[in-house]
Amino acid sequence: MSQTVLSVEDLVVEYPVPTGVFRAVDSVSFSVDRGATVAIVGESGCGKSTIAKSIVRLLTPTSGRIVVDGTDIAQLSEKALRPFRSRVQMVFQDPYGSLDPHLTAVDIVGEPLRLQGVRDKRKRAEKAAELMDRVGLPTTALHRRPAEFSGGQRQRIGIARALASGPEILVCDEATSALDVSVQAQVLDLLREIQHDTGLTYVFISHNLGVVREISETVAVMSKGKVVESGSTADVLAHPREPYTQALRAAALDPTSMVGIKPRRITSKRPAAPQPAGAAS
Amino acid sequence: MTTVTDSTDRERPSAVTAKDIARAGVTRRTRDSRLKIWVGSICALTVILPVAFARVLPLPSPDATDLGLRRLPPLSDGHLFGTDQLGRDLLARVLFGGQVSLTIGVLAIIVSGLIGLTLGSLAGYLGGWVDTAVSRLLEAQLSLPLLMMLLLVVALFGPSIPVITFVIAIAQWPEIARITRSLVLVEREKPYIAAARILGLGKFATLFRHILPNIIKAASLVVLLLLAQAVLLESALSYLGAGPQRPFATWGRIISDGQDYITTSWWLVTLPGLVIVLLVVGVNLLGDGLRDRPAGSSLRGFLDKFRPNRSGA
Amino acid sequence: MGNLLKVDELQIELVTATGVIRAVDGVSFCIDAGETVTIIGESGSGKSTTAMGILGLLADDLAVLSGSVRFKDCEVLGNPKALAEVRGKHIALIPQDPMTALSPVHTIGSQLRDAVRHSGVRGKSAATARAVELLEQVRIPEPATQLAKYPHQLSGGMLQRVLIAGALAAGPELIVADEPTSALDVTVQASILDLLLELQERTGIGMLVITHDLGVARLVSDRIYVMKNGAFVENGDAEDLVRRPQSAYTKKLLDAVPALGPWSADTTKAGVPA
Repeated sequence: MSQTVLSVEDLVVEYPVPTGVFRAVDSVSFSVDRGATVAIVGESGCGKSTIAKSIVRLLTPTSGRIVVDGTDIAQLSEKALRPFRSRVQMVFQDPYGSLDPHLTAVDIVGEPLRLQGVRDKRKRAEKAAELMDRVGLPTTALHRRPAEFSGGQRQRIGIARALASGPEILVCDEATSALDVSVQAQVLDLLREIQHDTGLTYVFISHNLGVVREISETVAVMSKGKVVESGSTADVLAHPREPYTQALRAAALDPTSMVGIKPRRITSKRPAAPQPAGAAS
Repeated sequence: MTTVTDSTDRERPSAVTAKDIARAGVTRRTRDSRLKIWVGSICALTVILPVAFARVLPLPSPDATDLGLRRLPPLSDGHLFGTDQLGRDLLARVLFGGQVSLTIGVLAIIVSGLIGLTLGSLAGYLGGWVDTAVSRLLEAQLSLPLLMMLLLVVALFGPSIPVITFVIAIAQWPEIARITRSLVLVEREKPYIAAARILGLGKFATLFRHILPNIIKAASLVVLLLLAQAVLLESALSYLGAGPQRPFATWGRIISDGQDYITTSWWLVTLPGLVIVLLVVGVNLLGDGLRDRPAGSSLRGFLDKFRPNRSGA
Repeated sequence: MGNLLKVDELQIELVTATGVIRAVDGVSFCIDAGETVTIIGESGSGKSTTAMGILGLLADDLAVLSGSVRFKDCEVLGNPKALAEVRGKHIALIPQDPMTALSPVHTIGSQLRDAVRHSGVRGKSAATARAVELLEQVRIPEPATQLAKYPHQLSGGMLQRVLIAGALAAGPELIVADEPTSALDVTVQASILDLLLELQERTGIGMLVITHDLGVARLVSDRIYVMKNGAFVENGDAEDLVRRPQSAYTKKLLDAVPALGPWSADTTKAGVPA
């Protein structure tokens, strides 16, 4: 029986700027059931990354609720938040910056275990080896540093580290955007496998509609801080109702569906009157 | 139909000549940094080793005056550096004096290193009012005329060795703090720090376990380069009479003692001065070489990679 | 008709701290006027190095080039004089990241005037007029007012258009576009690619496109070369390569691209190919 494990209600995140206040997330609401995946898709500046950071409480939202299994964590103090930390984890976009360069893989994956009170070093190494194996990395790689791994392998280490806490919710913030397309496919396969085996819930942030189609059942399309359209992924991608969603779908390039040489039929919008940096086009 | 090309069958010979390797940027940089490390180490050790082992060397006592042997030139019998105006062996004075100068220098950079690293990382990591307070303090101190400030402190508290060491440390902490702060600011924004916070690691634990280990190498290099500055500052203070008092005869004092005889007995001023120069240049070259070293250091090991029987990466 | 660009057995070796790395291992291809050839590959395949090598933009103390690169039957590899003649005037580059490719302390106008001056236009007012003309060609609205702006005041898409305008300044016959849309949002990407196709239709320039994105490659290319570990593994017509790939690597790449499926407002079904 599925139940709502994460519910975001009227989330608002504002930043102070010289001219007043900038609303990065403008009253966003969505929820996701246990074992399911919701994708949040949009272009740069739409607020999707800010939502990701709010859910893992890297920042404190201005207002709204983030309900994890019945408790609103949006405004909890650091101390009250501590027991929830292990339940919501994150996989980052940058495989090169998301691992501590001076630690070995076993230390990186073992750190969450140490934080949970596993004092015995050997026990941590054992569990870390298990997790490395789970994400498809050889256990001989345990004592190597991040510099010795490829981008895709580092991302796997990041996933292993996130799993080490035993979370219920995994927020993937553009987790495959910096990877080569073949490596991306492997990592998506891995994430699906893990979800199938453990019933983990994903919140998947992306700008890539194809990836969203592969990984999620429901999707929320964002633009300028607001949710423009949401629903089942299959439905929204096949029958987009809002003009913005249609523009996104039209601009997405699927090589196998194009006909002819240099088909010039993508909707090319005349760029609108010049806008300040940060706006699209 | 598409064309499939299988180029594994053809072995293309390399077009890289020995001349190309010799003039390659990475070869040049490795060779330069190796040279600097070697020359720097030799210069610095030429000063540091005799100073450290002064007690076991066959030297006359630095305080033994012999008014019959006053102001002998260098290379006189039994006196490599000659003697000063009271007949004391100059080399012995320089080496024993160097023990005090170097001790003060090393202690000063340890103290300034600790203060600078601590305040710099707190300022960079915590930001907010901590950063404002530290940065303004730093800037205020950097804007004051250094030597005058030090002379003032010594005049107030007396020229003892602890005061001199402390005063030099105070002079140097701003530069270390500034560099540390910049390094911490850069590391702080990287995603692995955010990952540590999301795991539930506390603020200070994140600073100690993740940020400091990654900046310590770069920060230590700055501290090493400041050893030379510390020795120079001590010499300047001693020269001006504000250094450790008799019986300690540090390099600055030896130079100031000898300056009345600069035209008649040039070695009394020049030789101690050259020793200071040798140490400062050596330490600076060593620091530069360490900083510029490209990943994968030893030159011979590096050139081995280009030998013909080794395949490329 | 002879080829615009003919590359024969180009080999690029890099002297690095870990030894000699063969980044490009004997690639050969050619581009005709009015044609778009795309080199597609994953990271580390050598595609960008190939483009930079052809343009002579690799550091002298890093790269050793061998083989042959002929532009309109004139050898430019190892011939700095010939390369200087050709580069900027006959072959132009659109660099990868528009946000960092322009000087942040000069206005758009002054940077475009610089580009225009190299093509022989004399005098500030003539250069300004030509700059405005170029901005119109790349469909920037209100071009005269944009000249006074600084790069940080424009969005990524606008900056890329400015860079394209700069590339067109001397009226080149070949444009090399290195990942021209990788740093842009997907809707902006669509308009930039459309612009490039339109420019090619109008002026008949040849294009060499470097990309990792199969969708982009399929859209803009006449022919595609697939690159892996410094060498080509397959090449052919864009449509042929995507519909009937033969090499296992190309198939793997195509399989890995997530499919999007059909959708309701698809305007590509109706209408005739351009």
